[in-house]
Amino acid sequence: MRNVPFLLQPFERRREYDRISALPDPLITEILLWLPTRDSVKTSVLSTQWRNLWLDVPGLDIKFLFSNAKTITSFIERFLEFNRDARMRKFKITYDTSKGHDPFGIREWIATAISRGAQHLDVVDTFLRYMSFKEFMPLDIYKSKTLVSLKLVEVRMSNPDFVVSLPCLKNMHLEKIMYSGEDPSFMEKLISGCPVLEDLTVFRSSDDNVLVLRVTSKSLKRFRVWSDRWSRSNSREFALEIDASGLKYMKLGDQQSKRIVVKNLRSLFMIDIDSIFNGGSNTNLEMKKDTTRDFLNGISRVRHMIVPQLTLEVLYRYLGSNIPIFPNLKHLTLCVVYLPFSFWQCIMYLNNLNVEKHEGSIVPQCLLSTLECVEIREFTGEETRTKKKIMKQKKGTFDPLMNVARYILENSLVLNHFDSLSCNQPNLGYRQGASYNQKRIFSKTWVFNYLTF
Amino acid sequence: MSESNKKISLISSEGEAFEVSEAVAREFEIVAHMLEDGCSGSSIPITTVDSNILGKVIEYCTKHVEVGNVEGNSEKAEKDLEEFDKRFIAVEMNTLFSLILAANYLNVKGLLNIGCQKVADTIKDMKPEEVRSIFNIENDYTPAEEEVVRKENEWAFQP
Repeated sequence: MRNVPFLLQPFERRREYDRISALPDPLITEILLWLPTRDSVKTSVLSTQWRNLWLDVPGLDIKFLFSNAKTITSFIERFLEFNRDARMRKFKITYDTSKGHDPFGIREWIATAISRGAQHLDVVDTFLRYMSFKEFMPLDIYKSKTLVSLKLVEVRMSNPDFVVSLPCLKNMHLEKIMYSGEDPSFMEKLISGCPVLEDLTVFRSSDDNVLVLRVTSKSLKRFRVWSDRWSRSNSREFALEIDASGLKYMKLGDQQSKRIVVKNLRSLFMIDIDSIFNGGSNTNLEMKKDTTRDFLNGISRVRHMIVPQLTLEVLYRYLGSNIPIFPNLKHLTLCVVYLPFSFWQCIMYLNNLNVEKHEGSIVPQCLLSTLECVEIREFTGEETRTKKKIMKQKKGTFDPLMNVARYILENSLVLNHFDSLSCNQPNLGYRQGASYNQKRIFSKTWVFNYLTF
Repeated sequence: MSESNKKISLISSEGEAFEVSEAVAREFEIVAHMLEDGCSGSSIPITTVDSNILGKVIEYCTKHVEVGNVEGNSEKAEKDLEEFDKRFIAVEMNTLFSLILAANYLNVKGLLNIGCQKVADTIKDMKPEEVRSIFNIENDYTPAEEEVVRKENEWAFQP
């Protein structure tokens, strides 16, 4: 029956037909490759045909559990032994060094996976840092001809004494890496060894030895950088320097860098600035003003900007009304935490954003000319505690968002989309008929709530 | 006529012709290879894929070519494409397997990936009995044999 093309079979029979078992074996193992190894192994009991199919899957995706470290260790060793000559496309492993998962084995397995042509490598140590027995990643990860994506979380990396060469690497995610080497240009060397890198995510740790994170790449399209929100190690001068002419999207969540320098961001389309530009106690205010202004100038070609309230406040504090012009800004997203006082600061900031005062007008130039879309949504980068606080406040207070909304709607000329998180709020009882010339506002119903002030 | 405007007909197993741009046809790696090998004909028979499935594969490739050509907001475009993929692959099992086979034959890697992933998602976290029933897999083990297989990798079956 397996030889009869499926479509030539009567329809009634098709419905009962076991189509998955009828697939050629390489397609079945292709499907199993998307499963955690545990689920893939479980398919061995489906039927005799499935008995050993999981063994031919070109990859491992293993999560150590509390109880089974030894069993899994021997399983992995047997699997790698069995597939001695096979290619391995994917190797994903999540473990916890504090639970006695053998880090030496892990290091060897990674080296094996790379030598067998791994394209995707994920190594996640779920145990938090400060443990000297965290194993170093093998140096093989710096010279793979096949790796396409690399994700390392909470592991130790050492400085290679050779030139990094990862010619196929497109996606790199480095999270709270323990780098204890002395060469501060470690990250720079790593990034420069990736000629086709498109996506880079770095979660910096506060005890990082790379004080200045330099990202210089022509191929980079998306860059996300994070650090702990409140870990301000004031004694250490963290900095971030980005030179990426092809960069289109940037998420800036780096709270510890005192200096953020951007160069050649000619292609920048969208930026999410969730950073407070680490002030620190011993910061020279004038210098801070200059670097912050230079930063804004460097991103001024952006078309879509996402700004949380905290960033707005910081920018406003440093720069007041000296905000550079964003000539291309079409889409502005404000992430707010519903604190009425700050909202007024938001408005003050908006007044100054891109300001070009036209004969007494205090309307931002971008609202007059380019801004087509404004979104106001809840800031999601903050802790839940704040959210709870917000919800409490929200209940009893008049929604100050209305003021922002009104301000924007009143003043914009080219706005055609306005979106807000409070869209589920009922009309607060404003009567209809106020004069608006916003003919081009394609509104959802709730927008009329604002339109009918 | 420029290269990118050139039209190519893909002929389904029923003989129905689907006219697509060369850029879309090239998403089928098998077709791309034919074109590179000097197959200059403007109609290419895809004898193992029926009209319904071929139409769907073309829809998938067309969307991906379109999005690939859009300049600018790659973040948004990618999200849209993810949404499209999700909707596109939410089909009943028979169609899903036909799409996987077609994607494999025509060598459309993106489609093959989302198809395989979709099947894998169905299997994930399911008990073997449930997997058998979803896919109509006939269990030809004797209970004793099945027990032996389970014992071999007991860790995988533990909750």
